Amino acid sequence: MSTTYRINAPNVNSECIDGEVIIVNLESGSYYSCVDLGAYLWSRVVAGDTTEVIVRDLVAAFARDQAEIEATVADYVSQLEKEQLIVATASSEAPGLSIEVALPVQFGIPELHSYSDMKDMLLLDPVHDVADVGWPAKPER
Amino acid sequence: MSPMSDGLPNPSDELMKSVAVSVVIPCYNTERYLAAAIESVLTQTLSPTQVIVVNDGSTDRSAEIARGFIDRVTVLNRPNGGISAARNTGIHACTAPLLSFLDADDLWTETKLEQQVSILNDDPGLDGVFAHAQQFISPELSEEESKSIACRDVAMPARLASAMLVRRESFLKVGYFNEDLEIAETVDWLARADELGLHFNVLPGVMLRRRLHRSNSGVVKRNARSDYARALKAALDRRRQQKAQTHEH
Repeated sequence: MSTTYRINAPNVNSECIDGEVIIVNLESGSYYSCVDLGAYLWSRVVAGDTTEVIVRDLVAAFARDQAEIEATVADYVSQLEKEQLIVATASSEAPGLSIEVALPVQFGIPELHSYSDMKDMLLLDPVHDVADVGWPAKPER
Repeated sequence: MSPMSDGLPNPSDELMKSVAVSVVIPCYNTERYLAAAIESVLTQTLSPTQVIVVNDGSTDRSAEIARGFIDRVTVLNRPNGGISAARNTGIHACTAPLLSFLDADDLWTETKLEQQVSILNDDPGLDGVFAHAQQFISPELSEEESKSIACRDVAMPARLASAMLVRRESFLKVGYFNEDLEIAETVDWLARADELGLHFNVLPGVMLRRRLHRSNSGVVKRNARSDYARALKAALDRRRQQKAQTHEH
């Protein structure tokens, strides 16, 4: 069975602005940018779609070999997980995050650009100290 | 510098005469903490020449508490507009060549201004200085509440408005705080400062004590967390534009 993921809340949040997804990790102080297929995959993964379903949709949309798409999606998801931007979850969990990102016109290797130049400021924000249910609940570790 | 006493340096007469610092303290419903913040400014070993408290439409006793210091503090009242708007209101009223800020729930350590002013005086090439900050849990919280907060009790380099001393001229080159942002205004401002090539140092000592309490703005305004993404996206766009222009030339 294919794995599903959710955004690593409350420390990670993201927004899609003008087609570019910006992901902020308040736990590490790093932030990330992705566009095109990278942004699209992010939106599908944090929406809670299984990698199996995502691969199926990409195979239908692009004239590409299934094995190539599977490897591309797996690599990208692995990168997101390694950066602790997403966490694996049971598919029965609550619905995921809804971010509108259009399917890119062309298939291209997704890239996740990482930045750490604002680390000191992001790490000092008190937001990361509380959970989504609100103050003063302790975040899940 | 004059001889040390009680382990703390005394600002020399020369230093006292050569600098003038304006301090802006924006406040919104911070009646519990405001007096301590103001006192941490007024008890600095190097006194600021101007202290401005901007009451951003508070509905609690913040304005009254600020007026309790009226002999040493200017109090400006404005309709609620957020921390950027409140700071900007204060900056408009500042007259000194050096600017600093303190959030109304935080505290400066007593030699903050003196140490930072000394560094700026010694190095005209610096536009501003930051310092380290240490978080602390506000003492009124119950034991249970305190345990629930992940407080990083270590000195951390803090490029935060409350830890900054900046030349007014340099600040104005960058421009005012973005009033559209509720919680990422300093990230945005500093990104713009970096893009202009302004020079800042982060001093090693802890000069800001950052209070964690029930209503930190980042906590209350959790819905404004997307501000970070917006501020960072804007910074990335400006850098790309700058890079493209450099390539064109």
